Amino acid sequence: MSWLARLRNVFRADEVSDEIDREMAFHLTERADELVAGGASPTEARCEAERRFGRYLAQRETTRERDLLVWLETLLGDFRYGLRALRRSPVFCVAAILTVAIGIGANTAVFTLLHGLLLRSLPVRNPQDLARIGLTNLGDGPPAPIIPYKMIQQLRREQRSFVDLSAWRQESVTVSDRDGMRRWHQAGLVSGNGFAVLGAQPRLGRLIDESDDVPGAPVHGWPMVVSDGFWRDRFGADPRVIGASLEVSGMLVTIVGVTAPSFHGLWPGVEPKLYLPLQFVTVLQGRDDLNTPAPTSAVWCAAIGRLKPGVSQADANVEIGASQTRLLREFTLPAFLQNPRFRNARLKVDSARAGLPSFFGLMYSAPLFLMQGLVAIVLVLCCVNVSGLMMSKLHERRHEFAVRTAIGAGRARLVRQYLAESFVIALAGAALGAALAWYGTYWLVPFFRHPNMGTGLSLQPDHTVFVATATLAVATTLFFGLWPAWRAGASDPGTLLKSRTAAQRRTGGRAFVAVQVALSLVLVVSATLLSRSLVHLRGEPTGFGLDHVTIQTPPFHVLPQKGMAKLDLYQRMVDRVAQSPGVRSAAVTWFTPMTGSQVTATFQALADGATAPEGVTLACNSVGPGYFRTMETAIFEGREFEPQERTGDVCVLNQAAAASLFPRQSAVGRYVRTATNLGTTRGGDRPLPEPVTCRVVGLAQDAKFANLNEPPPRTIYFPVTPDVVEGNLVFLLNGPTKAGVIAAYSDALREIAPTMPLVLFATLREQMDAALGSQRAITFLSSFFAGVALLLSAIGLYGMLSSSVTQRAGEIGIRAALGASRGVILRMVFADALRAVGIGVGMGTVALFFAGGPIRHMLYGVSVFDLTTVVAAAALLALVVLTASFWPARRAASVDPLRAIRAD
Amino acid sequence: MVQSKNDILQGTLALLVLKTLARGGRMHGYAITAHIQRLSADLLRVEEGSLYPALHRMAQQGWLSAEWGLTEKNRQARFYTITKAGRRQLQIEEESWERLCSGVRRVLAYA
Repeated sequence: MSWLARLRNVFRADEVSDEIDREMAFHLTERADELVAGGASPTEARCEAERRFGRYLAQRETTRERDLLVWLETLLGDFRYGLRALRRSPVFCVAAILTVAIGIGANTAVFTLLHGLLLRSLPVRNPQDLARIGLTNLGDGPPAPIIPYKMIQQLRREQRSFVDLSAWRQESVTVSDRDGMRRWHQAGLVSGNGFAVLGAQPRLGRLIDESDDVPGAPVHGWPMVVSDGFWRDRFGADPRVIGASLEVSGMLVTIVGVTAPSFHGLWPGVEPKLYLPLQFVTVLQGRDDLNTPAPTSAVWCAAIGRLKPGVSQADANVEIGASQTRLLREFTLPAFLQNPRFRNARLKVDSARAGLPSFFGLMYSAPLFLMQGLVAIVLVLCCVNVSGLMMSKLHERRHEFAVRTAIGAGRARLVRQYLAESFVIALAGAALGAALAWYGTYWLVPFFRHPNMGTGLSLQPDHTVFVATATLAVATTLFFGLWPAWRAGASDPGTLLKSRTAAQRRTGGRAFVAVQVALSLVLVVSATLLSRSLVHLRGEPTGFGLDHVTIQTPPFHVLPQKGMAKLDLYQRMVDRVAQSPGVRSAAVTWFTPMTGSQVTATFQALADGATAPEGVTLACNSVGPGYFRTMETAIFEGREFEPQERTGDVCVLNQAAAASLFPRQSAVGRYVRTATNLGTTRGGDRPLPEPVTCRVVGLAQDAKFANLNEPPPRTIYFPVTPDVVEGNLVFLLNGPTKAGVIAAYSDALREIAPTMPLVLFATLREQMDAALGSQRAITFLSSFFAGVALLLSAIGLYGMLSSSVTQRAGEIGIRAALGASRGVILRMVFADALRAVGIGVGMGTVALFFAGGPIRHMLYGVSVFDLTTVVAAAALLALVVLTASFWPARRAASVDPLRAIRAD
Repeated sequence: MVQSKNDILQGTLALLVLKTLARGGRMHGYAITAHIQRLSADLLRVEEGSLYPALHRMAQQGWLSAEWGLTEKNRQARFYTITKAGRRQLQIEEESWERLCSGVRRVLAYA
């Protein structure tokens, strides 16, 4: 009977057995009638009819066997039996369940991050129809997800592939929180059609629409939509919030709606708290770059649209590709296309099913995939371990199986009972794993922060992810339980009952241990390499002081002062703070290190004599007076900038830059000129200083810049100029304690710029930890799992040797009786263990060779094939398994020959 | 289990039921038993207890369709009719029966 039919039967089980009963009753009556017609008495007839019907009750049972209900009943019995068997060996049970739980928990937690950042579709109607337009082919840099706003407007008019095209932009805004403190929040700026293109629905009120996105604000003032999360946190989910006012970056706006709870924005991992019309960017920037008459605009946005039905991404690519040369020429500055990096830039249509590329996605996809690989190994290891445990258990229980086979249990039933046990373990493990994953995700998320110390990754544990992982784990456990189960069914009662030692030698156990050792080796070596990288990264000289420098970035850009007046304001703040006793020195800078972003430009040396004739690419920064003293970066020659220096005609080079521009001569006093007048930025779109020729006034120590895992770049420092000050500068405050520095800064701010909010204070050490977040997470995780792997291997080996000693008790007894010493027997057991380890280490080394590729880019200062690490890890594993084999070995050595032999 | 010699050979029950229904149209279980017994001149006897599970199985495999109805004596009975799939199955079973018979005949002739 087919499974489907059985399944159907379970829903009409009573109906089926009723039907058969009724049919049989009819048959008996007819037969009895016939017999009565032939002359029999009614009683006789009934008896005869039943006799002829055969074993009526037996048949009834056979008929009913076809019910899934009955089948389920026996299955339930098997489960009860499995539970009872597990209760009898609680240690085994707890070990197996914990093992499965760790495997499932770790995989769910990591996969939640991976899924949320890279794989999850946007929660809108038909997300697969969404596509975005970005720039690709940008030299060796990553593709840019943004294009000029005016180009989007033009595309909206002329393109035919999209139903409509909208513009999205991420901005940081300050909002006063409930405690009155103003804090930075992420906001999404969206063109009037943005939400309509997505097909998103509000939870309350309305979303941003075309009437909101007009230059200079709509008649009723700027409208704002808040996210569901912000609505709960800030307003306690009060529905009267619609119509309320809020100050955003110094501008009063009116709340008109709340987004749906499932909508977390277009940038995976970053959840904007607020949504404002795109035109609001003119408020945030304090100038109108959006509605200028010129076709070029400094405002770039992500372009996202919905493809028309029947139009594929490739079709759209062809259409956009045909007009890209014209569009790029018309809507970018001439300098853009002259830049060698952007010369071959092309417009490209990509899927926006999962949203727009976000910082987190770009930055953390590689570490997350590596992490997923590691935890997948852990899952396999866990399954192997459980399977190995069950094998050992099976061996202990072979007598029971033999007896049950002897009294008539079928092989299928034995297998089923054994599988039921695996299933109980898998289910309990999955439940515990879900709890682990829940906490694990919350534990993992804070490691993935924006290096600017801004918002952390915003992700929630995902039910679909858990279901997927749990299904996988249950399936694997059952799969791995199948082999032991099949072997359990194969017990030959005769042989087994006759003799305990006559059972054939198991080779499976050793294979399990070898696989475990191999996987453990991979994990231990990865963990060691990653830990050593982290030690290198954290311990290597950075070229600046980490513990005494605190960063503060107030939103001075909203202040009315511009240019020189703004510079004066910054300088007054610096001078005032530096007077405080709690502060050693203070300065301002354009860029802070370890944020992942830096500006580079090409420079030439102007000198008589030997100079590098071609341009040299240097990282650029603009720093105020006192910068090097505050950062604790040494000046080896010359001096740092002085307060009156506010033009780009002087510069400081670091050693690496000086050595490449002026080989074999002193750089101080010589001249440097920009070779191109436009630099390229990485991770930011800030403007570069004007093209200049400048005199080198100082030579500074090499210091790290954008990333810790790159050597200090060749760097050129300029004084802070009025055009740089258009954006925000960062205050660097050097003092013995963070609290003292904060107090000094707060006093100064109250005096000089009382309207400015206090925002997050972070030391460079904290920023470093944020920048190393994923590195730290993966190192902690891999170390933890390496420990788990060692433990699992030890348990596995212990189980294997224990049952092997029990199994070979007779043989060992005979050896002992023939005069083998304790030492010989100990050596025999240890040799058994070492053989398994040897095979495992061999397999693990081969596996490492293949695992080396993905892990390489996470390493710093160590090689993937580091022999010392592999040898040390193998030695550690050997030590662990030898410790685990100590007890079985001692038991073997103390086997009493007389009793062992008599037992047979 | 000892089988009386005129019990139907295992596996041929389906063939006989399908053939009976293909000829007789709509019949209930008792009528099928009676029909097979009569046509075989009492040489074959249907094991009555195994008939109903077999009928159910065949119905589930789609060879037969079943419905409740009234007999001439006004009793509730389940009536079976053969389906298209059943007729196909009948052909398959007839062919395999022929093969079996000719095989057995050959063995008996030359053994």
